[in-house]
Amino acid sequence: MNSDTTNIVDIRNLSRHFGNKAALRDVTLQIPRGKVFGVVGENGAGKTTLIKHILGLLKAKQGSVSVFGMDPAQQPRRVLSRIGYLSEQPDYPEWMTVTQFTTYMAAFYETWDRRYAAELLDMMNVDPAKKIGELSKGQQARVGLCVAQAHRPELLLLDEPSSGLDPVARNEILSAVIRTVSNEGRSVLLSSHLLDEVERVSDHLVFFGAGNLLLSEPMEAVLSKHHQISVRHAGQLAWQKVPGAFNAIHANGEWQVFGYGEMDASIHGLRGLGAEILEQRLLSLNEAFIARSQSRLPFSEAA
Amino acid sequence: MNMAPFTALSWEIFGRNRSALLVSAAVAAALGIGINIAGWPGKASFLILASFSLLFSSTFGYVDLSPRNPRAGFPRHILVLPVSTWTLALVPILAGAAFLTAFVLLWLRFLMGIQLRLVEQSAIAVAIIAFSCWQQAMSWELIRLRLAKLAVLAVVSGLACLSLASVMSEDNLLLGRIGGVATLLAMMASGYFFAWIAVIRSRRGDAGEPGSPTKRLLTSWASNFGSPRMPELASGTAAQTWYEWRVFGRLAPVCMLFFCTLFLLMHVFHGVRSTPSAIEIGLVLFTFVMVSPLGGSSYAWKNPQVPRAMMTPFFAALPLDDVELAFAKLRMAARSHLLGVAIVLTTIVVIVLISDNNRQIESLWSNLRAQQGTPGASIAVLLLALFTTVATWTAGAFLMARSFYLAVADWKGRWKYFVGLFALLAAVGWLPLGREGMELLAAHALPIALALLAVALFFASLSLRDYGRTSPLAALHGVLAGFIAVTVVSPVLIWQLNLSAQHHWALTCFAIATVLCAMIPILRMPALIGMNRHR
Repeated sequence: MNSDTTNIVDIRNLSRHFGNKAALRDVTLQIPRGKVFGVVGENGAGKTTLIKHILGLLKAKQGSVSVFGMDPAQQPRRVLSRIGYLSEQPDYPEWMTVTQFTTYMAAFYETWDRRYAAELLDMMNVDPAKKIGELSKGQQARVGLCVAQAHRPELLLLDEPSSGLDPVARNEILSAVIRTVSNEGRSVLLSSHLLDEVERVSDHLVFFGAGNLLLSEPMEAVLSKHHQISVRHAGQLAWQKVPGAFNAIHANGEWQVFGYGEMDASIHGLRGLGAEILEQRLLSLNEAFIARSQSRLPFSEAA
Repeated sequence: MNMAPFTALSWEIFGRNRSALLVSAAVAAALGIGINIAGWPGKASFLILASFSLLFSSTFGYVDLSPRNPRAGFPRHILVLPVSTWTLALVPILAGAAFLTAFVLLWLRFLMGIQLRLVEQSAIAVAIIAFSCWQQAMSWELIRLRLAKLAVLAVVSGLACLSLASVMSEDNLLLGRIGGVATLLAMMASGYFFAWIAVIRSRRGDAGEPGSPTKRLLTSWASNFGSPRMPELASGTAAQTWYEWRVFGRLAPVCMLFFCTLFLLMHVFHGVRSTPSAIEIGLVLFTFVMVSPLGGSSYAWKNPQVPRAMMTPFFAALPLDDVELAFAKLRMAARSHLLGVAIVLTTIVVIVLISDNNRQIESLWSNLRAQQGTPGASIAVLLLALFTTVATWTAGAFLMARSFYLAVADWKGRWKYFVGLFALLAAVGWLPLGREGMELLAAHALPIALALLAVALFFASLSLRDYGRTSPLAALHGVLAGFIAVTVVSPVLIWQLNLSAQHHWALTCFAIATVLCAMIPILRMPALIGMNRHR
């Protein structure tokens, strides 16, 4: 595999345990060029572990990780020089001024674009003369976003960037950055708790739960397939038999059945169980996430 | 359990340092008793006393060293307690001073056999309290600039020594007794006042902040003075080397500069000038041997207060190979170490040149020349310099490697690694001496056994559950590792210097072996960094 491969990240059967806890279980995932991948999941679902494997900060012990056709743990320099990374908790040297920091970072990347870095700092409204330690958390995150992409990385990894950014930066700057990167044919992997943000910018959604990759689908498909059907049914409803159903809630004599796939097939299945259909609608990503998080049924079974 | 605030705070202060205090006290006692039994001179005992006093003094430094806080200072969670500010300032000072005073007085009385009068004991106590007050005031961010802090502490230490010497002098020298007592009391009162101000400032949130325009101007000037223009960074390795030097590399040279300034200050005071030069030179060398390896453990960390050598995601994700990261670190450490050596040698030369009492040195040189001839004696002195450099570098490199290793290995792994490395160091040190080495071992069985006890205590302390959480304990390990390195090698060195010229080959073998020992952690560094980086 060479560096011009279509899939810039190729993860196969990756598993990782920390003590007795499985952080990742048999994950297989490919990230192609020019796509924005949104990774969602609860705390401890395995999102950061996945990103650390892509960066080579965790070595693949079971399975394989290939980034630009290379093992990131074996060839950190060649892989990392093509990646931009913003961590959840930026830990930049606080004694440096922003200018010193960008000068320092520029030395590591042959493709560093000084003019672009200055433009980004200007766009993000960061004072380059200030020391990093004097900046607020949000401002530090803006600096991080700037240095993560000033070398125009082929892959931009954003691990919970919103935790440090204020709403203005989140809505405007982050989206603009991601759009720019994507328009230039580069890829982005965005891990976030903020599902509206993921929904807004991602082309593809990756859903993690307890270390399992539950779903990896284009965003359009995710949004068009998650649905909720309200039904009336006397007694117990065997909703598990309905095609695509992964969760159901019973309240006030009505059942809310959540499903993934063709809604007509679910409706047909529910009618077959003798249920009266009251309402049907597609779910937002946020609603789908909550419904899935509450579900105890593994996605594969439901699907 | 209901406690008064004063008791609760004291309990917290002793509690947070209990591991470090217990281990340090045990090691100090073992060394003191060993030196006494071996019949070594009181000066050696005094050096140990001085070293451990410094260690205890830093152990009681009551500051919040959380790496998440942008600035160290008075522990913030304590500031919100409903306790008066004067109590908050007083308790840590008194706790540290009481422990240190008891340690010094007990050592002087029982290990050095010095009977002090009540007034002398009181003078020592007041001097310690005065120093504690100023030390805490500085660490509580009364002054923001590190260099200014060091300068103030240097002046305070010098003044305290001068006053103490005046009080204890039989001939009413220097400031005179009354002057000495008055100076000590004034230092104590002013020190407490400033410590109290520092806590007040911490409480209202403006500690360490530049206030007036004049202050801002001074701060800005001093900051610029301390941070010269950023060089052109041609590559990632150059950038990382620059970073390592700025963050870690300056520590050991600055420490040595501080201590050497103190020694020179002491030297120029008339009363201290009567101290024989050989002792002063011994003090300088001893300090270097203690400080330099400590730098080794600090180099491995993001900053000295970070408990573990965990590489943070930002640095781990820099596009450099593990070897390049190790190279940047080692290059910085070598530069830092050699600069420290240069400062030490310069200080020694200056002390010899300005001293009016070089009889001891002349006598040592004459004896050495008589035994080995001028070429042999010159070689021996050169070897001493080389050996001190190599031994301290070995301990520093070892500590750096150890710090990286601690982040990835379990306790059993650590044990094997340390035991193996120290055993190797000891073996290559003693083996070249052959039969004579065995005779020396037999002749000095007790001190060697005690040295081994110290080593055992050091290793035992590694098993403490909260190791790594307490930075004084980490500092203690640094100091101890330096001390152990010297314990292992110094008998050989001293013995060799007294041998005839025909045994130079043994010392040369020993120096080469030590260099090889130093190579082990150095060669292992990329792998250790890789283990930290790609877990």
